[in-house]
Amino acid sequence: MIRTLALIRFDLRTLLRERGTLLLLAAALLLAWYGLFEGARFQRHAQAASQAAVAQEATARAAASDLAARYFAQPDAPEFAGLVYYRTPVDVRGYAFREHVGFAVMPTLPGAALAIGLADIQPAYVRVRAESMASVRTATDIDHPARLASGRYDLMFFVVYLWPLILLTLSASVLTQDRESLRLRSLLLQGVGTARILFVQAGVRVLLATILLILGVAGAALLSGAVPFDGAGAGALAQWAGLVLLYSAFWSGVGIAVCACCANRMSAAFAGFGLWLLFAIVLPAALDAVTRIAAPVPPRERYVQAMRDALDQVNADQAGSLARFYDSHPEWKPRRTAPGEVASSVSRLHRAQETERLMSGVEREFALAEHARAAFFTRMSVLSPVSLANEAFADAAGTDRARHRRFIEDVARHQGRLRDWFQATIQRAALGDEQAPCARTCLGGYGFRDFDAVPRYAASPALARPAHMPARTWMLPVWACAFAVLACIALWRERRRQRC
Amino acid sequence: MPANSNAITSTVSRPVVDHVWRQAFIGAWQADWRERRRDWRVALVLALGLALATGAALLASLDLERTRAARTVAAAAEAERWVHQGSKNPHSAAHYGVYAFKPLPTLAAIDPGIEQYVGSSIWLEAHKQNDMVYRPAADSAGADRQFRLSPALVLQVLAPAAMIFLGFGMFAGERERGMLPALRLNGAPLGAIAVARGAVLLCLAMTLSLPAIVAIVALKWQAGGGEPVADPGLRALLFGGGYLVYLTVWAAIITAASAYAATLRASLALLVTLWTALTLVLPRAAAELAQSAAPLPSAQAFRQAVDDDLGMPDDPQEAERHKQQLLKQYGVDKVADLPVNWAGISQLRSEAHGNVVFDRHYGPLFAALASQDRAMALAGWLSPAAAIAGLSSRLAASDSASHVEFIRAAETHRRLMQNLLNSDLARHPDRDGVKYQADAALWRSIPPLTFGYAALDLRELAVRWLLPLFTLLVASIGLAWAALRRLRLGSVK
Repeated sequence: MIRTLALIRFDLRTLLRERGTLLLLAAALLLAWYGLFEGARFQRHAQAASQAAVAQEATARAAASDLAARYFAQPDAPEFAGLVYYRTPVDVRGYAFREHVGFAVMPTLPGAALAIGLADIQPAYVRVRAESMASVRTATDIDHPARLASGRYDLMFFVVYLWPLILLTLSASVLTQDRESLRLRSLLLQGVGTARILFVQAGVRVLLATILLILGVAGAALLSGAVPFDGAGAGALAQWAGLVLLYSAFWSGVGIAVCACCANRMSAAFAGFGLWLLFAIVLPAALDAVTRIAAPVPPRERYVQAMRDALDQVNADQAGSLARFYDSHPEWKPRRTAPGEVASSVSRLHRAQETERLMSGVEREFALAEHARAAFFTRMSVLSPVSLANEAFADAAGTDRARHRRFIEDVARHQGRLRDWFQATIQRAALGDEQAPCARTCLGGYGFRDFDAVPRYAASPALARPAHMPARTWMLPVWACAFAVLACIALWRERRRQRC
Repeated sequence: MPANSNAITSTVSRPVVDHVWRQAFIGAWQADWRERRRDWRVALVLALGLALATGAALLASLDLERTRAARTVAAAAEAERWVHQGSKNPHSAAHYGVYAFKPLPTLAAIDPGIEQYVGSSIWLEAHKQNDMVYRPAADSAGADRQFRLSPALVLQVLAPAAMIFLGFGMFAGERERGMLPALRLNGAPLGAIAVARGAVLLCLAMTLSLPAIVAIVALKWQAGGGEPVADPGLRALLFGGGYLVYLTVWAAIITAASAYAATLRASLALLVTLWTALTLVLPRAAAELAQSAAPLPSAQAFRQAVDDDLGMPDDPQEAERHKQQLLKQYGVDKVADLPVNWAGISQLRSEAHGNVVFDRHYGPLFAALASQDRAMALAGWLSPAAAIAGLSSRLAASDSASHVEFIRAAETHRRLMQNLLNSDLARHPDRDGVKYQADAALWRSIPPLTFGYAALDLRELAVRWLLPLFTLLVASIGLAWAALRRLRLGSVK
């Protein structure tokens, strides 16, 4: 133990005497802080947009209530002379299809600034319309597409791609320098085994560098407010730190194997960079290619055509389908109006439901294909530690695909409630209007002022809970162990060669 | 006298110098080529690189082929649907609308640029300038957010890495092995040796572009020559030339680093650092920093502003004045007695109002995107990867400027459609309370959107990407020259 401690002390003193090491670590911290800054900036903008959406919804509701109070008090006032039913919230048809402002906002997790993940292509807030989920499914936030295509520079990018290069550089000289300078013999004579030198020195170098990174980033994140200074923030940082440690352990395994196999620092640097290229770029790119081949998604152009066909079909059979609708809802059936004569604004939600019914097969086909692709990628990602880490960081930050899918499912349930609510209100209003028609929008007919009763989105509690570390993440230490075993085999062969 | 001696020197010694240089170049080329042919590591790097490049080219061409086929079928179906929509009021047809699909040039197979992150289709309907929807990235599993395998990735990122693997020891190896004095003594110009070794490196890197070239030829052959760009030949020429210059920059950088570094390890470390900074960090950081050049609104703020501005289709008082003027002009008392259709006129007014609002909002949005484009392009002065990425996506029409060009064309087409439909409606008043119904003749008179990307703005291309790329080429050659001079005159250690 004393010998090991002496070895660590000696190694660290030698390492810190080199100006390059300190410069490398300083550069690493600067790059990490810049990544954190970009992640926090993105998160700040996303949150501001979400808050603006919530504010717009509240303002619109208040303005509608105010207008309704004025209108129903004095419908003949000059300000309402040009009022058209489809452009005013005081008429339920105008409100349901045009004036209703409702947003669904996905809760932000405390560690969101630590990884942008897929948050830049999956909006954190969506406008929900009573008519259909189209506004949700096609929602995007405005961003420069070239930024999306080149990929974001955030803390996750630094940790996943650049940090391994720093770790490999730090560990490339372990054992190889001793072999080069012929110091290895004297160390062996002192009874220190090569395996101990390799594992202890590489392990300590990687561990200390990783601790420095974690402390540097955690401190900056808390001080800058990128992560909230509370229990939840501390939890998010702890989870992030755990992931960084696991990921660093993997690259430490790679570094150990490289140093065990290579005779000098040059070949270690060469092999290290080669392996980094393989793991960081080639494997994820190959995995993406294999996923695209093995789990193809049908072209969206086909979806558009199916939707147009469905709309044509619904329009062609409007009277028939409305008759069936009123048969299943006799309480809403008009007394004097035939199904074919029902106003399009009254049958609009039913038409949307019919279109959705006709599209359900195509929707299912696309959803299954998308699910199959995601599942295939998840299964295969155990073969690519960098992809595993990428997914894990996004999962921890709550900016992953699965969480967003849960959010969309949550929104779909809310949209269903919203549509049913408006359907019932419009049908009752149509009955009222049929019984006592009024020349302009009036209460008892299509007049509407019950804005507070309109369902509002509230995220399910599960969405606000921090994600658990995915089980697959534990493949990272397994990978590290595999490389450690490789290193042991290489050292054993070297020893055997020396004995021969 | 000095003039005379100069004349003698130039007439006699120049051919000798040229001859020596050429001989040295050929000798160094042959030696390097022979050595590399025998080296298993070169074979391994090339085999891996070629496998990736072939996979990327194959996937990209299949993707493009499939997407193009899907869009052609969908566009044809839309055209058919439009013509056969049956008799209806033109305003109903305006709401029925059509979908337009963005065409893709063949070069987009090599560099898909932003295509994964922008919508593929747009619905052209009354009253609204819709956004393009269905981004392919929304259907992907997130794998492509890491590194999407494409020929552009191979050429922009992996080919320079392969060149570094093959070339970091170009001169550093000789210095480390103590062969530098021998290299100096053999009399061959170091410049000739450097150019020969750099050229060999470039040729090896260019082999990685072969699968992409084959894919392009195959796609062109299959497509039968129809390209949605005005100048396909020029684009292809500049595309190939751009990548040649890009890889030459890397060959010069590698030569410079290898000649400058004291050891093989130092050469490799320097090149890996440069490669990481220039191909991975700078392009991403530039894209992030460009946000400050012209901040973009959030979708919520943008939509709210457009909706607020749209408000009522037009000023009700102005509409009333217009109506009264028409009644007076035709000498009638009621709108129903007008020989023109007031609904059509009203729709024309509404669309005109909408067009002004859309221009007022989309104009600054597209201008902000263009400002960010210009800001991102500035990184091309520092990073050859940023310069070639911008140039290559511009030539492949897979950049944001080309995307905006399509959006503008689609919007122009939408306005043309609305104008024709509303004008027809305005000419045909309702008779006896029965709404006017148009038929296939009117639908046929509105042609489907045929879009082609405009010819390249060569000045913009030169200033934004070619000039930085050539400046970097000159700078890297200058660095290589300085490093070789140091190699020739400096310490052998």
